[in-house]
Amino acid sequence: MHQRDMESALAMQMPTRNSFDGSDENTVAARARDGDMAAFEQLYRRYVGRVHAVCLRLAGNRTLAEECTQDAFVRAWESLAKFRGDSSFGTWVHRIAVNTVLERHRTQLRQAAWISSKDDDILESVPAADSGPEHAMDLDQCIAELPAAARTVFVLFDVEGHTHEEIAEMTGLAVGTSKAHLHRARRMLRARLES
Amino acid sequence: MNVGNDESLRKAAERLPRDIAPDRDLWPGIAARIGSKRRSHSLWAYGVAASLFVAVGAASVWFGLARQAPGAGAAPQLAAAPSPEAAYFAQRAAFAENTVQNTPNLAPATREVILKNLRVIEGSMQQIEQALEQDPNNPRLRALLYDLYQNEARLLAATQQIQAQTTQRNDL
Repeated sequence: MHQRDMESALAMQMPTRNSFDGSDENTVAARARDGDMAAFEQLYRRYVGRVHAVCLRLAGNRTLAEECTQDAFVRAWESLAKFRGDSSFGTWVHRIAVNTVLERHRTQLRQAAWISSKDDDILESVPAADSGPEHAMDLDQCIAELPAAARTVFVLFDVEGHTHEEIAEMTGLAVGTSKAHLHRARRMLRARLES
Repeated sequence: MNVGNDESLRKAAERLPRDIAPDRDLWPGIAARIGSKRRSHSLWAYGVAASLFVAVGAASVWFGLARQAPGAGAAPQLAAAPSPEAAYFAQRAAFAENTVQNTPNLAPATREVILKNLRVIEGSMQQIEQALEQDPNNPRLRALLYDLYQNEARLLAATQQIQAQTTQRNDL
C-alpha cells in the first residue's frame, strides 16, 4: 500500500514526458546516454529539486545534501548505459540519490543496528520535549534534528513511502530495527512538534 | 501542528514538498566532474592520439592499403559532401574503416566488433558535427567531439596492437 502511495505521489510530482524542448524524456535520456551533456543538463534541471529534497531530508544538513545531490547526478551519468527507460529518469535518479546518502550513513547505520537491537533502550533514549516556543519548528526542521538512523527510517517510510522490508534491504537494518527506529522517530517528532 | 498520533504525523509527512531546490546551482560542479572523469578516462589515449595518424599512415603502407583502391568507399561520400569539413570527415571515416577492414590476422568476430564500435563513434561524430554547424561556438559540443576523436584513436591503436602481437607470434 505504501509503495503504491509513493508511486502515485511520484507520478503527480514528476514532470510530464513532453517537457524537454519538444523531446520526450526517453529521447533526452538517450541523447545523454550517447554522451550529450546538454541533454543530461536538461534532465538535471528537471529533477534536481526532487533529488535534492530527498538528499536534504536523509542527510539532515544542506552541505551534505548538496554533495550527495552532485554525487547522485555524477553516478547517474556514469550509469546511463544501464538506464533502460523502464521507469522514468526521475524515479531512477531518485533511487541513486537515496543509495548515495545511505552509503554516507553506512557507519552510523551499522552502529544503529547494534544499538537498536533493544527497542526499550531506544525508546528510553528519546529526549524530553522542550516546551519553549522557540521549539515550535516545522516538520522538516525537526526531521533534520533526528538521529541519523531514526531520520533515515522516518524519511524512507513516512515521507518516501517505502515498506520496512524495503528499508531493511536498502539500509542493512533488520526489519524489527527499522520499526523500532520509526517508532522512536515519530515519538521524538511528536514531542518536538507539540511542544 | 497537530500530530497527536502516528496517522496525523504520517499525513503531515506526506504533505511535505517533494521538490526543494538547492541554494546554489549545482550543475557547474557536476559538469566539471563529468568532464574531468572523461578526460582522465582518456588520458592514456591522449599520447596515443598524438601519433595516431602517423601510425595509421604507416599501417596503410604496411597493409598495402594504397594498392587496394583506398578511395572506393570514400568517393561517393565525398561527392555528396556539402562542406570541406564534411569531406574531411567522410575521408577520415573511410580511411579508418579501410584500415580495420584490411588489417590481416584479425579474427572475423574481432573485426566485426571493432567495425561496429568505429561506426558508432563515427555516427556520433557526424551528429556532433551537424550540431556544431548550428552552434559552432558550443564548448560542450567541441569537448564531446574531441573525446570522440580520442576514442577513435584508441580503437585504431588497439587494432594495430592486436595486429602487431599476432604478427610477432607468427614470426616466432
